[in-house]
Amino acid sequence: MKTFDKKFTLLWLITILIVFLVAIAFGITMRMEQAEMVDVGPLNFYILMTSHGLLMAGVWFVAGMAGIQYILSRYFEVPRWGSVVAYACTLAGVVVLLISTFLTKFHAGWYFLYPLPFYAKGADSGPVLFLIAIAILGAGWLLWSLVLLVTILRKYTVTQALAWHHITGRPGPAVSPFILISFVSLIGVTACLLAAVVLVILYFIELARSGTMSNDPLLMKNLTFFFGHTLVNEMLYLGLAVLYELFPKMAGKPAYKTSWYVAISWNATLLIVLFAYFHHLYMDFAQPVAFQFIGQVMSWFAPLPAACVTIFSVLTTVYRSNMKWSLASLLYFFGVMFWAVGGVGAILDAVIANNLVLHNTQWVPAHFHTYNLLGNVFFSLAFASWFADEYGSEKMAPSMVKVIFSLLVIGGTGFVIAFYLGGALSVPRRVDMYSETVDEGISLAKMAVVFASLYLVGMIMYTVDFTKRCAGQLFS
Amino acid sequence: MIIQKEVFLVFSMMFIIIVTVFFLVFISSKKIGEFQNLNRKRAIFFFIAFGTVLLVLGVSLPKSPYFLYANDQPAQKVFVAAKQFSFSISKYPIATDDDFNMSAGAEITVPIDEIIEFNVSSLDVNHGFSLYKDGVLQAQVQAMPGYVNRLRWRFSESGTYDILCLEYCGVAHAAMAAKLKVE
Ligand code: HEM
Ligand SMILES: [Cu+2]
Ligand SMILES: [Cu+2]
Repeated sequence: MKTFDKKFTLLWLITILIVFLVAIAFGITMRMEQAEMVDVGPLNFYILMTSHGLLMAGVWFVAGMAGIQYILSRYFEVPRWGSVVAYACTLAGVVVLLISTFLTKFHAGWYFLYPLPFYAKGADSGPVLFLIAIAILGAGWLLWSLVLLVTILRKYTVTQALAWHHITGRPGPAVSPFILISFVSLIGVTACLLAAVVLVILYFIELARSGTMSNDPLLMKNLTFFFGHTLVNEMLYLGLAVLYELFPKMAGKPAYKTSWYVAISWNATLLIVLFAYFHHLYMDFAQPVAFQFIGQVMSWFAPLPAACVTIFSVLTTVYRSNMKWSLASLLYFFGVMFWAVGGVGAILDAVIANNLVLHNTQWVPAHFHTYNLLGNVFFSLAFASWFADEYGSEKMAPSMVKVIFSLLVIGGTGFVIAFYLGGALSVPRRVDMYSETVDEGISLAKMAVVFASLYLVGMIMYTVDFTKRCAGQLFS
Repeated sequence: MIIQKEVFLVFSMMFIIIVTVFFLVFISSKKIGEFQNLNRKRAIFFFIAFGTVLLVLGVSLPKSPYFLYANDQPAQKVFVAAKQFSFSISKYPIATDDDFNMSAGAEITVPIDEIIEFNVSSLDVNHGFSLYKDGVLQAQVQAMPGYVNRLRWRFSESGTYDILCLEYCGVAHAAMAAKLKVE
């Protein structure tokens, strides 16, 4: 293994863990404000919300990408500059983002729904700085994703990388599930980042022609959610690609092969994901009903390939495997479990008739925190743990594994249950305080603070342990 | 039963089933063995899941709120405009800031058991128009600038309904509310 790839992956992982801790602290502060335990005021609440959302989405996206970059470099030579440029852009983007939110008080939310950035802007330079941050992040990540796509296409044709020959039975090189899933996800990533670029350009045009031109709000909303939903969805699949590569070995089983149904399932997923975002616009009755229906149908088809292939495979791999559990394999296995749980929360909300009373309630942060905090994050932490076990100075102590794993699972579960209860009790999301109508929100926020703090303690222990075991490698 | 409770119940059931399955498989990992008839079981699982999805889609899509009382004549039209950080509700269209100010703060009453058509729009950013009765969300629709979203609704309970803004619209979003009387 080339030392540069190792070191740079390590640099990514340590950076990600540190930013994660900061973003969790923002999250807990928001919950404390809602619980009336602190008083930061509405403006600071929304500044924290905007920063938290974008930091989290960004950090776990690059974590997925770093995993792909590393595993891909075990297959063949991968250009390094994509990852390096993306790292520089990520740091620069985060700095500009935090300046725009904390210094110029920009607070329009992480997906900055048009035309809110022109209103919730703080100082006049707020939206400009924020959009520059988005542009830097978008450009760096788009480049990285294109570099990885081209790397795969140097070895395989498009139809080979999509594993079509595994469906038709035609001759061709064996394509591993890792390559297939990476390829499929990177196409999705590229598509949604392109949408982000278009979105930012439209904003800048409007800014440049100040007051004389405005964009279409419905079109902008479609673009926003095509970008936001797809990005958050695809970053989970990046984590799954690495799982397909690493998990069977952890269970002492032969590597997963690309069978016809694995190939079909991921090709179907490629298409389904691109149309599921319509479910964010259900309550825009002006949107054509056909789109609304496509949204619900695609949202309900999405779990089929996932459940029948990925979840089924992970379960049967573990069944009577006599495997030795490590933190990495525990996080993978239970990450898949919570992914399934979050998926159920998601598709219930994706029924249009249910969305009428769940949209923009806490049901929404409930389900997406389930498959991020306890799913996607677990996948990336599993990769990091595997990495540390492989290259660190020593393995994690078994007692440490138990303590950290319990803190993350108990803390995370309690935290998301408070959101689910909030959703069931009609408590709105994205409010800094709860009016009399929905004052159940206050006690739920208190509950969430307690559990989220457990999760934070677990993450601090994880980060300290990881750094202790691996930091030496960085400077060796 | 109200929709939220039903959804929470279904979710809790699925939560328990999923956790139980994973836990049982986790326990089984202490033993040695093979999963028998993998492909047949996978196929059966697929067809059950596929059938369930088709069933849910078939039952739930026609219940979409876009079709509520679509072929009926509404007894009353109500116009709602949102603007940072208040609502204006009127029996007449609200197109300008002047219209908005004229009916701002006015309390409006609508008849019970009749079809009411809410014509909802916004004069600045996206807002949300939602109807709460005793803290329970009954229905909602987005308020988008440049568009009118039409929600038809029949109130079966009289009393005062709380209207909350349900789309984040800026710093005073949490305080953006109004009331509606049903008699
Ligand atoms: C213990 C860890 C975490 C805590 C305490 C936390 C807390 C919160 C809170 C309080 C909110 C606002 C909820 C509301 O709408 O009222 C929020 C929103 C959000 N969180 Fe987290 N969160 C955590 C982890 C994560 C993770 C791991 C991710 C993603 C990978 C994430 C992504 C987001 C996003 C995208 C939003 C929406 C922001 C917006 O509405 O603009 N969070 N979080
Ligand atoms: Cu509002
Ligand atoms: Cu609002």
